[in-house]
Amino acid sequence: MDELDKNLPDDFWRKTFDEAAETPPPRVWAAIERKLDESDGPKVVPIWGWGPASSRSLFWGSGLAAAVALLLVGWWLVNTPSTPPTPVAHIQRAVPSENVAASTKRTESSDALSTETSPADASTTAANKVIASSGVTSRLKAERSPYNASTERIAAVKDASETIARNEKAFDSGFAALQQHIAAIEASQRTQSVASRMQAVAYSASQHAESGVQAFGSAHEAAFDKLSGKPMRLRTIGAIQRIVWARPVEVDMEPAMIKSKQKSRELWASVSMMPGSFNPTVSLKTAQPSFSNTMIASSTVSNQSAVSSRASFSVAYQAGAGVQLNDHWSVESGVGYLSGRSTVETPAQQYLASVQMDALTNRNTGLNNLYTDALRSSVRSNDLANAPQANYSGLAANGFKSAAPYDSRSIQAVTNDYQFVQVPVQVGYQFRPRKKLSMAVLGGLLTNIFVKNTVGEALVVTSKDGVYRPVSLAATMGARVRYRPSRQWSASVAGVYQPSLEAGTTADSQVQTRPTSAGMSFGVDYHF
Amino acid sequence: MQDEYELVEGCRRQDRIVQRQLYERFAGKLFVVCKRYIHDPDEAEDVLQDAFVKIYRHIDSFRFECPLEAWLKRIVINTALKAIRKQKPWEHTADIQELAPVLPQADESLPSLNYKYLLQLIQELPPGCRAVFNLYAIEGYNHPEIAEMLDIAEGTSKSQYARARGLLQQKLQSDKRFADGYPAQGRSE
Repeated sequence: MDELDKNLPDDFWRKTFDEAAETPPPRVWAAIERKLDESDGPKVVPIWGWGPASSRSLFWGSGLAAAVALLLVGWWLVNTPSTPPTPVAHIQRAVPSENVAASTKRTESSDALSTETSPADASTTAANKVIASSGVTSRLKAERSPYNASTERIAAVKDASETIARNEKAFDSGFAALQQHIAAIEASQRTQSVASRMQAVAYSASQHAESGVQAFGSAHEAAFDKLSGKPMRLRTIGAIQRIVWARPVEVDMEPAMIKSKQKSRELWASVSMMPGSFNPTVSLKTAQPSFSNTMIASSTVSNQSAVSSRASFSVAYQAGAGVQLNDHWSVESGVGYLSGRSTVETPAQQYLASVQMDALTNRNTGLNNLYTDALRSSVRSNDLANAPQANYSGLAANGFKSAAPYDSRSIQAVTNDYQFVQVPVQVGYQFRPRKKLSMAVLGGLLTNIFVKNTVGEALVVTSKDGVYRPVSLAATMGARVRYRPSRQWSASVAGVYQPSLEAGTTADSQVQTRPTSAGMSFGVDYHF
Repeated sequence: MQDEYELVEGCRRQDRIVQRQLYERFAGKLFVVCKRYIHDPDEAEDVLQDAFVKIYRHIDSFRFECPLEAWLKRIVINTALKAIRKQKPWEHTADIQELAPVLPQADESLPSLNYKYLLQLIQELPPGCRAVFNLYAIEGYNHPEIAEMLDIAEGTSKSQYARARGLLQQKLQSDKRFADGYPAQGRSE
């Protein structure tokens, strides 16, 4: 180890730079902001460098394939056989198009062409004669514009030249003469007037047309055959043939501020279990006009206030979903199942008090008591024998259901097992939004759908019996703490209190309940 | 101080204010990281800028599996290494003897020795061995990891580190404050 290493501790460099900081210049943030603004706009995604195309081998493979394709196309273009030119095409090439175009342009100022008294009048006349012999003179005369005149004269030259081509005797001299006159036209572009050029062409045409005029006949019609297409050929490399300036369509620029921030509302689904306590708060009506058991009303030993219920263990399961409206507010709903147990303490009938006393608890365990009798009496059909909805387990047949008064000294404990389907709708307010550990208060309504109540494991009262309301409302309120370690998952613990807002039994029922439940809910949430 | 979770969530929402808060909180430290790897100040600013743009665009990939600062630092280092690779520092490594041990102008008193002095020493290193030195001595990577990160042979990483250490040794030994051992540590401004 060298001297430096001996002197410096291992973490010297690390410690030195651990907390080192230096404020970057403001332009860095400005540039970052600019780039972020640019990235918010529409992106042009290149086909390379993205997704599966980002691999280097694929990139080079694509380039190679493109090169091969270009070579094949080029080879095909070069080797495409060109169709043999027709005589008309040959003549067309023999007469440079630029000369024709030039002559056409220059005829604009040659209105006096037909009336000009130049020495070439004779040749013009001769050309007209040739045209007239082919039947075109009448059309030429009708259209006296200089453009038409010059064009038709060129056509006449073509016709005459074709005639020459078909006449082997006149071909050599005629074609040579035509070339001479074409050269003369080229020379005359710089020095002579349009009139003299056209006259020279007409003159030469007339000179040689005369020799082949006999063979002309109807052969001139072939001169107007459709031109054959030219094969594709590559242009000269490096030569700029044409520049096309194109202006792209301008896209309307929208101010960045107008862009609405479309934040997706956060959704979550949750399952929870809530162990707690459930107390139906049972009482009996003081006025019992429909109570068939007159012994209760008249008995001095029975006391309705002695009927009471104690809360017992309950458990609720719930599956729900929620939506975060903004940072603080949320709406939640779901469906749940509540199984709530409770114990009702009620005076027993005196007849049974002595025989059904529990030795240990000093409580009567039979089902002939004020509470169960009241329940039975509350069933829509008071005729117990004709009450098929309720399972009375044969007690009704014992015949002593109302035979004895109730003894308040003999308290009977009757277990009740309520079952509800619950549909909560509640609103939440979060105090620490978007933090790992958040807290919220919840409040809302709970719809309790009564399923059944099993009394003493023998008497089953369902919603069809008319004792309990099929649907009753309760309030729900509580506080929830949610721990969210990841983006998707969170766990929550909530304390919930759910007092009923209305009686759980029907108005004409002898038994009145007002259930209340409370507990701690443990849940797992999945955030979308 | 703002919670990291809140910062990350704000950046995920592309909230510009929160993005600015994240920048202000970490840009100072990360700028020094850039300067450790990149000598040219303008280029270091460019690297910092590119790194932050990457951070904002890929903030969704941060899963709180490590401290946020470590994640940010890793992105800055990767961006800096990418910039260094473009310079191909391994192809024109000068001989140690050719590099004159230019000692930065530091204060005479030991307590004034701060990171700027050492940063200047590191910046004087050739780019290749500067990167290796930073990764090995400061970031704590080992040579196989450095070789993978820089796409070089492990032996090259070792030799570059030895070279960096030799250069720093030359410079520090010429500073009399190091003659007796560990210098007083200065801290950031």
